[in-house]
Amino acid sequence: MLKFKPLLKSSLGSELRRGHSAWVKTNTSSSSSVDVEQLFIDDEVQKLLTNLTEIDLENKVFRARRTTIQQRSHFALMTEERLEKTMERMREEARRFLQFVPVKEPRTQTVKVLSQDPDLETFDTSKFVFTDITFDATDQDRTVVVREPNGLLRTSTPEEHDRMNRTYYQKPNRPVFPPSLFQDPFLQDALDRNEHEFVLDWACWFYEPDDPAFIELSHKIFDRINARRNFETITSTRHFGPFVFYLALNENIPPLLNHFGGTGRIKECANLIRLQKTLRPDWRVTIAKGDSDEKIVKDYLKQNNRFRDELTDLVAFLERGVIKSKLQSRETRTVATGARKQATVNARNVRGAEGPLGNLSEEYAVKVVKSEGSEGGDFEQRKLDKTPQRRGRWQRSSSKPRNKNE
Amino acid sequence: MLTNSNVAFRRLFHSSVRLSCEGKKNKEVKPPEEAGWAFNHVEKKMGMYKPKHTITEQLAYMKSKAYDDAYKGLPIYRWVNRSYSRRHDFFCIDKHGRFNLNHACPVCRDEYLFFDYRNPALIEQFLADGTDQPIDILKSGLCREQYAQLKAQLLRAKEHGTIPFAVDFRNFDYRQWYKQWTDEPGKPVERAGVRLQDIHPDPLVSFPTFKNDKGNDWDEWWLRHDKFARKAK
Repeated sequence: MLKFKPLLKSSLGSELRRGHSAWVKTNTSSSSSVDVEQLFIDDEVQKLLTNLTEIDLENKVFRARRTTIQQRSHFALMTEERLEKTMERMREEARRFLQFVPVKEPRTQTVKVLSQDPDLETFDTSKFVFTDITFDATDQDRTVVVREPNGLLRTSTPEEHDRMNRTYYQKPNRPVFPPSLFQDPFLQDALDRNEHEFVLDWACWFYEPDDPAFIELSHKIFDRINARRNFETITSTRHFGPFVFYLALNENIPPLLNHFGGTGRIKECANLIRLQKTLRPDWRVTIAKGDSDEKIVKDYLKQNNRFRDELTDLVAFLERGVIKSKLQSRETRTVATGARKQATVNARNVRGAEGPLGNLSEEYAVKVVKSEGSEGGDFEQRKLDKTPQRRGRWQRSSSKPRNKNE
Repeated sequence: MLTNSNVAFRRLFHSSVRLSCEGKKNKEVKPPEEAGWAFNHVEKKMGMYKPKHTITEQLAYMKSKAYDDAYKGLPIYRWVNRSYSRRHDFFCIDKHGRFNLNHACPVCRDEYLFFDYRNPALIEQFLADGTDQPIDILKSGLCREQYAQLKAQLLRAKEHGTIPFAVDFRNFDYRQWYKQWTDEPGKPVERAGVRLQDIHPDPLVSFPTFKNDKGNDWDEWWLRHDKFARKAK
């Protein structure tokens, strides 16, 4: 049934944890033993990662996606104060959607031998997998045991365990076998279409976060993002935190630093440098307590002169205040939209071209009628004075007297 | 008799018919810059074989001017006569690959088209707006074979990543993954689960409900009729 090479007495994962972490690539690690999980859940690191993940509501977090059910669009007319409140609530909601995927070491592949029955050796040519499907067993603590064809009864490997979970407890978009998207020609196609978020979302839905396949896949995607420098695809998603963590842990931040510098976000640059120095503490280059963001970035540039050609945009911004042209146009666009948002109708411009009538205001006079407050009586009177004309069958009898004969 | 022999003739010499058709086409339409992609002028195709094409040809066809002229940028099922609405009860194409009907379904009738995961544009035409679900078979006007193909290739396209969709949001409980973590997880969220009425609750305006005919005993009028009706002598 299952293709499986028994790794009976090797405890691969624990060996990994003791010696070398899967999240630290060999060529960069000078200090070998770091507890990656402990570092990730450290308060300071979590705070820095959260600050580094920007919240883009419209284009990222709540962007249009193909869902299973059809939904109507909602339109609401609200005051500016109310709009701000609503956006604040949306931002709170978005923060929940930006919960980081746990950064985990790959799990151990150890299995326990339960019994050895040589009498059963020739009983069958395939394995038997027994799964506990009682109501109160959760996906994590479910008992799954395997009877090998040679009569060996053992607990399942984590991969077999997950596969049994997928078989007996089906969820939408979680097929028994991993989808082809996670393999290379199709993975690269999806990444070329900038669908990094979709692939990573599905990967963390399909795999457990400590699955070696998941960790390998996410590292592959992170490396490709870093090589292509398309950080825009992953910003403001739940995978940005682990991505930055991975980069900082491997001391590979200059490309991202350059990206932040190119957009003129000096605060993010400083946070990134702080993050790297928290993850890779070095007594020679520490950050003093009262340092400003700019000073931290400048110090980093001084200390890492070898990265100077990789950090051209950041240097250009620091020295001349230049923001990259492509991003500059985006900035101006946002500024323009911001200006348009501020144009509201008030007593001064209601009669002009900025009012609700626009250009038609030259032809038509705008009358402002107050329905509440002190001028209520005035309104009533005006209503009495000028009765609206009705047309067709509903014409008023006063305008066209019916009883002519009388 | 005559018609039967005609059909047999068509079946036997379908290839020559096709060739002659192509020749006619070349005469009528001036040789197009997109060589080979052209409108098929055969009106009644019953009994004729459907030509087979590859996916690369299909992709090129869907970008060509011939396709644009034929469908004018609309989904292909919009151009199909709805009066043959029970198309899904028939086989458009029989087991030998011949047309069984003169009015085949929108995909069967176009010789270049068939559902394939490598051409998501064709599959997306048959998806309900904003979803990853296919529209109703009656609405699509497809035959059963093509509708089954649509569903199969849609699944394939999703698994190969050519049609991205909203994967369910996985809410992690960090206490499960880290022993040292003690914080409670927040309220679980789901994609498309954010409702405007929660984010932006409506102001407290109470609208009167429609007054339905309850509590008034108009239907018992005849029961009480004796009490108030003046009896005739």
